[in-house]
Amino acid sequence: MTLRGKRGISLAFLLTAVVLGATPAFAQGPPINTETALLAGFTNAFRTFDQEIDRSGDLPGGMRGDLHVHAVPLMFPYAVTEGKWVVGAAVPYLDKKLDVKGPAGTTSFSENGFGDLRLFTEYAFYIKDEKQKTTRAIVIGGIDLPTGSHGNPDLPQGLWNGSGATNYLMGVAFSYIPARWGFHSDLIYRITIEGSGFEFGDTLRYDVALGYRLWPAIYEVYPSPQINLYFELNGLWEQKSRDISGDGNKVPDSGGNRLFLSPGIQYIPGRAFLIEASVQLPLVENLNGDQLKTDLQANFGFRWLLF
Amino acid sequence: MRSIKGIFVFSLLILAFLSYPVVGYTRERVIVEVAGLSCPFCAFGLEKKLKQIPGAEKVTIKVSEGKAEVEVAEGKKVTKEQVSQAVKESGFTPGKIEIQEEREGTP
Repeated sequence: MTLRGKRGISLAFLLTAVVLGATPAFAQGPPINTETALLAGFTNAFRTFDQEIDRSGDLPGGMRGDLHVHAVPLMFPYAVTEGKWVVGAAVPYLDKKLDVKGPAGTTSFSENGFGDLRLFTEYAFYIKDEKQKTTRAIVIGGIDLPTGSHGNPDLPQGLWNGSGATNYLMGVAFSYIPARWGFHSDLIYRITIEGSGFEFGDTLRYDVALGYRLWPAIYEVYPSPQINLYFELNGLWEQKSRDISGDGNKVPDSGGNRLFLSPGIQYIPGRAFLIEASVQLPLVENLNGDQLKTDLQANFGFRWLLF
Repeated sequence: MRSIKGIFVFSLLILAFLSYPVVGYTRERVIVEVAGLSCPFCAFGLEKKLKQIPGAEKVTIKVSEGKAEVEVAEGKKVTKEQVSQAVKESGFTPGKIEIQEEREGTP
């Protein structure tokens, strides 16, 4: 495959890398894919999950692509002040495989390893507690360090493990939890910087989630087993990328907007452990140019309160 | 000789009777209202902080009532300030705190 051909493919897969970068890397507790402002829910802990992504579709140049991404983020939030101020780190392990089918046959690309390290902080600036009810809001800040491998000219940029740049994120999250129900939302903007001759587009992540404790109807004494259901809308808008090492122009086959409907279930057997799963069904995929569309996106994982 | 033995047994009985209330003890139970306790999984931190109060022996969190109970070890004392601080440090808001004294080991 010519360098020009690789360039065309790479441009079409930018969004994949950005979507992975926007996984819920600092989620503090329920819900599954949306941030919660209730910081008391999940700190001094470890969270991981297996995220499977399958995408396919037409590519520039009359080719067809099939992408499979297997991502395992590892997250460690720590409470500086319980319920008020959290700092943490998150790093994903990534395994990506891309098959490109054209008239000359199929070409495969693959990459795996740890991605960029994210350091983050969250601070609750609004807390209103009532009996069996809480309303909270937090600010979120973070930095992505270029620890993941990047810059391999034989790979499309979207398959790199890291962006090659130090990126910054800031956002807010809001939660209203009146006992059995819970409403959560977040808005997080990520500023991306050029790295290895390429600049991925800035992203805006927007999520809303409705949680419901299915069982038990009345939670008497802690700890008791419980099952929660979640209905989430998870969105990610991305600006077009820029190919600095090439012509310096924005990449036409990059950027756009994806919105997923994500039903999920969570089982808490006792005091310090939970398992959860969600399927992310694409509702909207308004993508610029030729890019791969989502066939399947699903998460399965656990959280463990350590101390 | 017999009367001396009788006096001795009688004295022992009197002594046992008089000393009985002394071997009894009081045990405190602290009940605190916890506002914002709407997420049972979040009670982990609350339980941890309440258990760290010196003298706290057992913690029971009644989520449906929005209350936590701390049973204090015999002979130990816990202040309302300690309980209030523990609830705050767990990320919740303390409400009314009641300390009940239960006398144990007495008839």
